[in-house]
Amino acid sequence: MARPAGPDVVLDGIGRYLHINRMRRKPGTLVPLEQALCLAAAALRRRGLETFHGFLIAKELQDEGDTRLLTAYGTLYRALARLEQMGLVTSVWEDAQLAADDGRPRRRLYSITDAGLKAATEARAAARAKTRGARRLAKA
Amino acid sequence: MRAETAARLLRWWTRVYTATLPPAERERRRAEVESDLWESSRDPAGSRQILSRLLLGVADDVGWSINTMEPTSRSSLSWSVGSLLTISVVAGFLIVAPESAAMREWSWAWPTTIALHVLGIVALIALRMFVDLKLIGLSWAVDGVPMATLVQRITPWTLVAAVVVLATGLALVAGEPRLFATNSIFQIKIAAVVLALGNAWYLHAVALRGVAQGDSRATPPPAARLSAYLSLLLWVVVIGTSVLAPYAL
Repeated sequence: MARPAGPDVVLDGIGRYLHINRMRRKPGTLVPLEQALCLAAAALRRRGLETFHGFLIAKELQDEGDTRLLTAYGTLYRALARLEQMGLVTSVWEDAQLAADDGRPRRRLYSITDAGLKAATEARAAARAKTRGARRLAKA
Repeated sequence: MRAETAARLLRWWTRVYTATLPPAERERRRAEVESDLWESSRDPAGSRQILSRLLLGVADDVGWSINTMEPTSRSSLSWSVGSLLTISVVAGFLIVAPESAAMREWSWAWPTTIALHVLGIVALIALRMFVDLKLIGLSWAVDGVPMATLVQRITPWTLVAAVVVLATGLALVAGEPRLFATNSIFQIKIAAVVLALGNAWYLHAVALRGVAQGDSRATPPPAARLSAYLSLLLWVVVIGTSVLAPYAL
């Protein structure tokens, strides 16, 4: 039987015993890191960067979130894999010759999809609504 | 810690948690981390944060690895964790065990416990034999069932049987812990159990990796067949020593 894709995946095997990946969420909703990744990828696209690699998006997240630490390797690449599974980003390996010419390892190049851009817009709108609500509460 | 040392540690850790993954996933994660390291080395803040990024992501690395690994490898991880816990509990118990008055004084306790222990061992070995016999070509009972499906189906029941065997085994030892601790046949039994569990881990995590999902009629690799023969031999030793151990008390 085919395993369903997306955030509602329920795994068998040891996950069943350790309660790993049993996190349930409403279909179509993103956790804060996934929202932040979509927002950062959308911001990079607005600046003309159609594709990004792991370290670049980690730097962008750090700058946008104004945080001291870069997102951890495991957390970042796991979240990117989830976004790819959900169809919010796609990824390809860059041309090996290009990397060899630059004398560096090949980059995995991600790009945000239309669905990802829509998710970023929704995340931005939700954040604005939250801020407005907080301001109203502060005034009251 | 210097950036080079942190980078070496990160490479080592990445090799560890990707070791049991399908080749495509393994190579992708290793290459992505290598690329990230290269970019970090060109960025002062990035090179300072290699260790913190590694440590803060360990839980995600492990979770992702478990979710990504093949069903047989996940099953072998269950076996590994279970075996480690079992060995720790048994070792701890043998060190601090007080003699159980209940096991010695209640007339029904000993026969009931030993009956359950034997039933548990029979179930555990029977379930293992489905896999071992299929690997050596005697698979009439599960013919046509792919190895991954077979392992996935039997693992929960194998774990239940293992828990019954462990619980009743500890209760039996609790009756006379010092006698069991000095019983050479019992020591051979425990050694055989430990070797059988280690062999089961090797079979699923190493020998069967990558072939378990394939055609149910495909010939398993020689290492897997050898491991299956060893497994059968070790479980025969476990049965034999289980029968003989009480006579040597």
